[in-house]
Amino acid sequence: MPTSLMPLFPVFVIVLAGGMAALQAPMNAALGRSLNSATAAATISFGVGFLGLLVLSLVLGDGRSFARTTQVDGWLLLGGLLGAFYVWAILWSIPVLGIVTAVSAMILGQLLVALTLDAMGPFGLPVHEVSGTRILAVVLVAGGVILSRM
Amino acid sequence: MTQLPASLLLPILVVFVAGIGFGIQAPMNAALGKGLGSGLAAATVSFGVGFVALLVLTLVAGQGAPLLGIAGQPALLLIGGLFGAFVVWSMLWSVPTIGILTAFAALLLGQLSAALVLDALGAFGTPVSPITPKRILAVALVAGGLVLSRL
Repeated sequence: MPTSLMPLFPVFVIVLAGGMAALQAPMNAALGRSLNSATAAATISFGVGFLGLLVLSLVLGDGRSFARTTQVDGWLLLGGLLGAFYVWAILWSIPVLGIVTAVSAMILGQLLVALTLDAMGPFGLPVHEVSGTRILAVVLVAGGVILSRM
Repeated sequence: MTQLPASLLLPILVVFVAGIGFGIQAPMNAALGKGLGSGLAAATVSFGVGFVALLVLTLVAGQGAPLLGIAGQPALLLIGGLFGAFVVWSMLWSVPTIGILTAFAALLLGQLSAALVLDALGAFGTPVSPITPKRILAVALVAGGLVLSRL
């Protein structure tokens, strides 16, 4: 099997996760309408996700790993802030910019940083150098996402 | 060339930066998972920090009262957060194997394919938008990009 086909399972899991993200969006929107606050809905959504993960971690016996949070680089703990900022930016920008512009700006930021970080291999991740094919991949994915919102 | 209204430049920049942040989050959480010896614990910490940040933001913005409305909500709407949890965990778990770009391409493929079906059904009170050739082409482009990111 060529190496490029080996990680099919993780790709499948992520496609599934994307489907869940698509399911989550209208659910959060409906919750926001019902509560009359999109920010409150996002907060509740994060709270539920946090509790779900906490319970799962404890049940699966990963609870001791939490003690190591004092030993890792402190700034690694702040990844969650980026997620919260992302959610806030979506909620805030769509009424201002309209969905096509907002999604276009976001997807470009996301894919350009993915291309760049892959080329750098940060935090000991494997390096995937920038190539013509990978740039074309970014163009196709961005084009598809923007087209779907037009 | 049409001039972009200057008032839109800041929001566009904010959203662009948010997209960058989301891209950085996956490898950062992966590194946290390595440090903690548990990807699940890393996803939990990430969600906990995000939850606290959004809670503070909600209270500062004077939206604390709507939070209390949680009691009367259908349970189905509340479990959306569990899907988000799966997204964050699966990204940090897969990024060391498949790379960040492929992970995002796969995530977007799943998202667009499912949205195609959900929109056609008008799920959760969203307006019905039928499956059109344009939207199928959109999914095909993302799928093509996913394959290319692995070549």
